[in-house]
Amino acid sequence: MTLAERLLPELEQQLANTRKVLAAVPDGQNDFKPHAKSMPLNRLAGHTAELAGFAYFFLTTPGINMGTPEDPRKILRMTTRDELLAEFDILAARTLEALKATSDAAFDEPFTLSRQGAVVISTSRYNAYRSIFLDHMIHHRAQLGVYLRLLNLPVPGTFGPSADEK
Amino acid sequence: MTISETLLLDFDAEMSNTRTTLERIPEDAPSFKPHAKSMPFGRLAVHVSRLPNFGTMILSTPYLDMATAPLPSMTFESRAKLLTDFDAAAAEARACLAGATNEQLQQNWKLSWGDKTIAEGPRCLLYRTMFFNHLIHHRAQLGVYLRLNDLPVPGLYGPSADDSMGF
Repeated sequence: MTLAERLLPELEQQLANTRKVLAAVPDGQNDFKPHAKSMPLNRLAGHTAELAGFAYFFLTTPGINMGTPEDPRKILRMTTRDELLAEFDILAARTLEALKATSDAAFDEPFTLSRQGAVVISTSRYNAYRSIFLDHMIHHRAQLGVYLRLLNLPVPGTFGPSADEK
Repeated sequence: MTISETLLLDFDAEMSNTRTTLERIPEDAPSFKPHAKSMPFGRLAVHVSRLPNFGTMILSTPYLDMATAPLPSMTFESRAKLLTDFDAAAAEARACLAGATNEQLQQNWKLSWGDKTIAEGPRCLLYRTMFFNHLIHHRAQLGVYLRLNDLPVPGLYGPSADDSMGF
Protein backbone atom coordinates (compact mmCIF):
# COMPACT_ATOMS: atom_id res chain seq x y z
CA MET A 1 0.00 0.00 0.00
CA THR A 2 1.38 3.40 -0.93
CA LEU A 3 1.43 6.31 1.48
CA ALA A 4 -1.15 8.10 -0.68
CA GLU A 5 -3.49 5.11 -0.49
CA ARG A 6 -3.16 5.14 3.29
CA LEU A 7 -3.76 8.88 3.54
CA LEU A 8 -6.76 8.94 1.20
CA PRO A 9 -9.55 7.69 3.54
CA GLU A 10 -8.50 10.19 6.21
CA LEU A 11 -8.42 13.04 3.69
CA GLU A 12 -11.86 12.13 2.33
CA GLN A 13 -13.25 12.00 5.87
CA GLN A 14 -11.69 15.29 6.96
CA LEU A 15 -12.69 17.18 3.80
CA ALA A 16 -16.26 15.91 4.27
CA ASN A 17 -16.18 17.14 7.90
CA THR A 18 -14.89 20.52 6.79
CA ARG A 19 -17.62 20.80 4.16
CA LYS A 20 -20.21 19.98 6.80
CA VAL A 21 -18.97 22.77 9.08
CA LEU A 22 -18.66 25.30 6.23
CA ALA A 23 -22.23 24.43 5.17
CA ALA A 24 -23.40 25.40 8.68
CA VAL A 25 -21.84 28.90 8.51
CA PRO A 26 -24.60 31.52 8.25
CA ASP A 27 -24.84 34.30 5.71
CA GLY A 28 -25.07 37.83 7.07
CA GLN A 29 -22.66 37.42 10.03
CA ASN A 30 -19.41 38.05 8.17
CA ASP A 31 -18.02 40.49 10.74
CA PHE A 32 -18.87 38.43 13.82
CA LYS A 33 -15.92 37.80 16.13
CA PRO A 34 -16.08 36.41 19.66
CA HIS A 35 -13.29 38.73 20.90
CA ALA A 36 -11.61 41.91 19.65
CA LYS A 37 -8.45 39.91 18.87
CA SER A 38 -10.24 37.08 17.03
CA MET A 39 -10.50 36.60 13.27
CA PRO A 40 -13.87 37.71 11.85
CA LEU A 41 -16.18 34.88 10.79
CA ASN A 42 -15.79 35.50 7.05
CA ARG A 43 -11.99 35.30 7.24
CA LEU A 44 -11.98 32.26 9.54
CA ALA A 45 -14.38 30.42 7.22
CA GLY A 46 -12.30 31.51 4.22
CA HIS A 47 -9.06 30.40 5.88
CA THR A 48 -10.50 26.98 6.76
CA ALA A 49 -11.67 26.53 3.15
CA GLU A 50 -8.53 27.90 1.48
CA LEU A 51 -6.27 25.45 3.36
CA ALA A 52 -7.74 22.65 1.22
CA GLY A 53 -6.39 24.61 -1.73
CA PHE A 54 -2.94 25.25 -0.20
CA ALA A 55 -2.55 21.46 0.12
CA TYR A 56 -2.44 21.15 -3.67
CA PHE A 57 0.72 23.26 -3.74
CA PHE A 58 2.25 21.36 -0.80
CA LEU A 59 1.77 18.18 -2.82
CA THR A 60 2.88 19.42 -6.23
CA THR A 61 5.51 22.18 -5.85
CA PRO A 62 8.94 22.44 -4.15
CA GLY A 63 7.80 25.39 -2.05
CA ILE A 64 5.75 28.53 -1.66
CA ASN A 65 7.20 32.01 -1.29
CA MET A 66 4.42 33.90 0.49
CA GLY A 67 3.81 37.57 -0.14
CA THR A 68 5.42 37.59 -3.60
CA PRO A 69 3.87 37.74 -7.09
CA GLU A 70 4.73 34.01 -7.46
CA ASP A 71 2.67 33.04 -4.41
CA PRO A 72 0.08 30.68 -5.98
CA ARG A 73 -2.27 30.51 -2.98
CA LYS A 74 -5.78 31.81 -3.32
CA ILE A 75 -6.74 33.68 -0.15
CA LEU A 76 -10.46 33.40 0.59
CA ARG A 77 -12.79 35.64 2.52
CA MET A 78 -16.39 34.48 2.63
CA THR A 79 -18.98 36.64 0.93
CA THR A 80 -21.84 34.12 0.91
CA ARG A 81 -21.83 30.54 2.12
CA ASP A 82 -22.79 29.14 -1.28
CA GLU A 83 -19.93 30.94 -2.99
CA LEU A 84 -17.48 29.69 -0.38
CA LEU A 85 -18.75 26.10 -0.67
CA ALA A 86 -18.43 26.23 -4.45
CA GLU A 87 -14.79 27.42 -4.10
CA PHE A 88 -14.07 24.81 -1.45
CA ASP A 89 -15.46 21.98 -3.61
CA ILE A 90 -13.13 22.90 -6.48
CA LEU A 91 -10.08 23.19 -4.19
CA ALA A 92 -10.89 19.98 -2.31
CA ALA A 93 -11.40 17.97 -5.52
CA ARG A 94 -8.08 19.18 -6.93
CA THR A 95 -6.24 18.28 -3.70
CA LEU A 96 -7.81 14.78 -3.64
CA GLU A 97 -6.59 14.17 -7.19
CA ALA A 98 -3.13 15.50 -6.32
CA LEU A 99 -2.90 13.19 -3.30
CA LYS A 100 -3.79 10.16 -5.43
CA ALA A 101 -0.98 11.10 -7.83
CA THR A 102 1.71 11.61 -5.16
CA SER A 103 4.30 8.83 -5.03
CA ASP A 104 6.08 7.70 -1.87
CA ALA A 105 9.30 9.19 -3.26
CA ALA A 106 7.60 12.56 -3.79
CA PHE A 107 6.43 12.60 -0.16
CA ASP A 108 10.10 12.39 0.90
CA GLU A 109 11.09 15.43 -1.17
CA PRO A 110 11.77 18.70 0.64
CA PHE A 111 9.13 21.41 0.80
CA THR A 112 9.96 24.96 1.84
CA LEU A 113 7.53 27.61 3.00
CA SER A 114 9.07 31.10 2.90
CA ARG A 115 7.89 34.64 3.28
CA GLN A 116 9.48 37.06 0.82
CA GLY A 117 12.52 34.83 0.58
CA ALA A 118 12.97 34.18 4.34
CA VAL A 119 12.45 30.50 5.18
CA VAL A 120 9.57 29.91 7.62
CA ILE A 121 9.55 26.09 7.53
CA SER A 122 11.67 23.66 5.58
CA THR A 123 10.41 20.11 5.91
CA SER A 124 9.36 17.07 3.88
CA ARG A 125 6.40 17.22 1.54
CA TYR A 126 4.70 14.61 3.74
CA ASN A 127 5.10 16.75 6.83
CA ALA A 128 3.96 19.91 5.05
CA TYR A 129 0.82 18.06 3.95
CA ARG A 130 0.29 16.72 7.44
CA SER A 131 1.12 19.70 9.67
CA ILE A 132 0.65 22.84 7.59
CA PHE A 133 -2.43 21.55 5.82
CA LEU A 134 -4.40 18.79 7.57
CA ASP A 135 -3.65 19.45 11.26
CA HIS A 136 -3.94 23.19 10.58
CA MET A 137 -7.33 22.86 8.82
CA ILE A 138 -8.75 20.77 11.68
CA HIS A 139 -7.55 23.45 14.12
CA HIS A 140 -9.36 26.33 12.40
CA ARG A 141 -12.44 24.22 11.67
CA ALA A 142 -12.78 23.60 15.41
CA GLN A 143 -12.63 27.37 16.08
CA LEU A 144 -15.35 27.80 13.49
CA GLY A 145 -17.50 25.34 15.48
CA VAL A 146 -17.19 27.55 18.57
CA TYR A 147 -18.21 30.60 16.50
CA LEU A 148 -21.34 28.71 15.35
CA ARG A 149 -22.12 27.81 18.94
CA LEU A 150 -21.75 31.43 20.07
CA LEU A 151 -24.12 32.47 17.27
CA ASN A 152 -26.69 29.99 18.68
CA LEU A 153 -26.48 27.83 15.57
CA PRO A 154 -26.29 24.03 15.49
CA VAL A 155 -22.73 22.72 15.51
CA PRO A 156 -22.08 19.71 13.24
CA GLY A 157 -20.34 16.86 15.05
CA THR A 158 -16.93 16.08 13.55
CA PHE A 159 -15.31 13.56 15.93
CA GLY A 160 -18.45 12.47 17.71
CA PRO A 161 -21.89 13.97 18.28
CA SER A 162 -22.07 17.67 19.18
CA ALA A 163 -24.42 18.92 21.92
CA ASP A 164 -27.10 19.30 19.20
CA GLU A 165 -26.82 15.73 17.99
CA LYS A 166 -26.76 13.74 21.22
CA MET B 1 9.58 4.44 6.11
CA THR B 2 7.35 2.31 8.36
CA ILE B 3 3.81 3.42 9.23
CA SER B 4 4.95 4.09 12.78
CA GLU B 5 7.81 6.32 11.59
CA THR B 6 5.39 8.25 9.39
CA LEU B 7 2.94 8.75 12.26
CA LEU B 8 5.74 9.86 14.58
CA LEU B 9 6.71 12.71 12.23
CA ASP B 10 4.18 15.21 13.59
CA PHE B 11 3.62 13.51 16.97
CA ASP B 12 6.25 15.44 18.95
CA ALA B 13 5.38 18.82 17.43
CA GLU B 14 1.67 18.36 18.14
CA MET B 15 2.23 17.09 21.69
CA SER B 16 4.48 20.06 22.33
CA ASN B 17 1.78 22.38 20.93
CA THR B 18 -0.72 20.68 23.23
CA ARG B 19 1.50 21.09 26.27
CA THR B 20 1.99 24.79 25.48
CA THR B 21 -1.79 25.20 25.39
CA LEU B 22 -2.36 23.23 28.61
CA GLU B 23 0.33 25.30 30.40
CA ARG B 24 -1.88 28.35 29.89
CA ILE B 25 -5.09 26.91 31.36
CA PRO B 26 -6.15 29.10 34.28
CA GLU B 27 -6.92 27.50 37.63
CA ASP B 28 -9.72 29.88 38.55
CA ALA B 29 -12.16 29.28 35.68
CA PRO B 30 -12.90 25.52 35.44
CA SER B 31 -16.63 26.12 35.10
CA PHE B 32 -16.36 28.83 32.43
CA LYS B 33 -18.23 27.94 29.26
CA PRO B 34 -18.72 30.24 26.30
CA HIS B 35 -22.29 28.97 25.75
CA ALA B 36 -24.81 26.92 27.73
CA LYS B 37 -24.27 23.96 25.40
CA SER B 38 -20.44 24.10 25.53
CA MET B 39 -18.16 21.90 27.61
CA PRO B 40 -16.84 23.66 30.73
CA PHE B 41 -13.20 24.88 30.49
CA GLY B 42 -11.85 22.47 33.12
CA ARG B 43 -13.52 19.42 31.62
CA LEU B 44 -12.39 20.35 28.10
CA ALA B 45 -8.79 20.74 29.34
CA VAL B 46 -8.92 17.35 31.11
CA HIS B 47 -10.37 15.75 27.96
CA VAL B 48 -7.49 17.11 25.88
CA SER B 49 -4.89 16.01 28.44
CA ARG B 50 -6.28 12.47 28.51
CA LEU B 51 -6.79 11.93 24.77
CA PRO B 52 -3.32 10.37 24.36
CA ASN B 53 -4.62 7.51 26.56
CA PHE B 54 -7.16 6.87 23.83
CA GLY B 55 -4.30 6.75 21.32
CA THR B 56 -2.58 4.12 23.47
CA MET B 57 -5.81 2.14 23.67
CA ILE B 58 -6.26 2.14 19.88
CA LEU B 59 -2.66 0.96 19.47
CA SER B 60 -2.61 -1.68 22.17
CA THR B 61 -6.07 -3.28 22.47
CA PRO B 62 -8.28 -5.13 19.93
CA TYR B 63 -11.40 -3.01 20.58
CA LEU B 64 -13.10 -0.75 23.09
CA ASP B 65 -16.68 -1.17 24.22
CA MET B 66 -17.67 2.09 25.88
CA ALA B 67 -20.73 0.49 27.47
CA THR B 68 -18.51 -1.59 29.75
CA ALA B 69 -15.24 0.40 29.90
CA PRO B 70 -14.78 2.48 33.06
CA LEU B 71 -15.04 6.20 32.33
CA PRO B 72 -12.07 8.24 33.56
CA SER B 73 -12.77 11.18 35.85
CA MET B 74 -13.11 14.43 33.90
CA THR B 75 -12.81 16.72 36.93
CA PHE B 76 -10.23 19.49 36.71
CA GLU B 77 -8.07 19.56 39.83
CA SER B 78 -5.08 21.76 39.07
CA ARG B 79 -2.89 22.82 36.16
CA ALA B 80 0.01 20.84 37.67
CA LYS B 81 -2.08 17.64 37.67
CA LEU B 82 -3.29 18.35 34.14
CA LEU B 83 0.31 18.61 32.94
CA THR B 84 1.55 15.57 34.89
CA ASP B 85 -1.30 13.43 33.52
CA PHE B 86 -0.72 14.73 29.99
CA ASP B 87 3.05 14.12 30.09
CA ALA B 88 2.54 10.54 31.28
CA ALA B 89 -0.21 9.86 28.71
CA ALA B 90 1.76 11.39 25.81
CA ALA B 91 4.92 9.45 26.74
CA GLU B 92 2.98 6.18 26.86
CA ALA B 93 1.26 6.83 23.52
CA ARG B 94 4.62 7.71 21.96
CA ALA B 95 6.26 4.52 23.23
CA CYS B 96 3.32 2.46 21.96
CA LEU B 97 3.46 4.12 18.56
CA ALA B 98 7.25 3.76 18.27
CA GLY B 99 6.95 0.04 19.03
CA ALA B 100 4.02 -0.71 16.71
CA THR B 101 4.71 -2.86 13.66
CA ASN B 102 3.16 -2.30 10.22
CA GLU B 103 1.13 -5.44 10.78
CA GLN B 104 -0.31 -4.23 14.09
CA LEU B 105 -1.08 -0.83 12.64
CA GLN B 106 -2.99 -2.34 9.73
CA GLN B 107 -5.11 -4.60 11.93
CA ASN B 108 -8.74 -3.75 12.50
CA TRP B 109 -9.80 -1.82 15.61
CA LYS B 110 -13.32 -1.19 16.74
CA LEU B 111 -15.04 1.31 19.00
CA SER B 112 -18.51 0.30 20.07
CA TRP B 113 -21.31 0.99 22.51
CA GLY B 114 -22.62 -2.49 23.29
CA ASP B 115 -23.87 -3.89 19.98
CA LYS B 116 -23.62 -0.56 18.19
CA THR B 117 -20.39 0.03 16.22
CA ILE B 118 -19.26 3.63 16.48
CA ALA B 119 -16.09 3.37 14.39
CA GLU B 120 -14.19 0.55 12.81
CA GLY B 121 -11.12 0.47 10.59
CA PRO B 122 -7.38 -0.11 10.44
CA ARG B 123 -5.63 1.02 13.63
CA CYS B 124 -3.43 3.52 11.76
CA LEU B 125 -6.52 5.31 10.41
CA LEU B 126 -8.42 5.35 13.71
CA TYR B 127 -5.27 6.48 15.53
CA ARG B 128 -5.33 9.55 13.27
CA THR B 129 -9.04 10.27 13.12
CA MET B 130 -10.14 9.30 16.64
CA PHE B 131 -7.09 10.32 18.65
CA PHE B 132 -4.72 12.69 16.88
CA ASN B 133 -7.12 14.81 14.80
CA HIS B 134 -9.63 14.72 17.65
CA LEU B 135 -7.02 16.16 20.03
CA ILE B 136 -6.16 18.98 17.58
CA HIS B 137 -9.89 19.76 17.37
CA HIS B 138 -10.48 20.12 21.11
CA ARG B 139 -7.15 21.88 21.66
CA ALA B 140 -8.27 24.57 19.19
CA GLN B 141 -11.45 25.04 21.21
CA LEU B 142 -9.27 25.57 24.31
CA GLY B 143 -7.51 28.37 22.39
CA VAL B 144 -10.85 30.15 21.89
CA TYR B 145 -11.69 29.68 25.59
CA LEU B 146 -8.32 31.26 26.50
CA ARG B 147 -9.08 34.17 24.18
CA LEU B 148 -12.54 34.71 25.69
CA ASN B 149 -10.90 34.83 29.13
CA ASP B 150 -8.48 37.52 27.91
CA LEU B 151 -5.56 35.14 28.26
CA PRO B 152 -2.75 34.91 25.69
CA VAL B 153 -3.34 32.29 22.98
CA PRO B 154 -0.30 30.32 21.81
CA GLY B 155 0.48 30.45 18.09
CA LEU B 156 0.45 26.86 16.85
CA TYR B 157 0.41 26.87 13.04
CA GLY B 158 1.30 30.52 12.60
CA PRO B 159 1.25 33.60 14.80
CA SER B 160 -1.71 34.21 17.10
CA ALA B 161 -2.75 37.77 17.92
CA ASP B 162 -0.45 37.50 21.01
CA ASP B 163 2.40 35.32 19.86
CA SER B 164 4.50 36.03 16.76
CA MET B 165 6.28 32.61 16.92
CA GLY B 166 9.19 34.31 15.17
CA PHE B 167 7.17 35.03 12.02
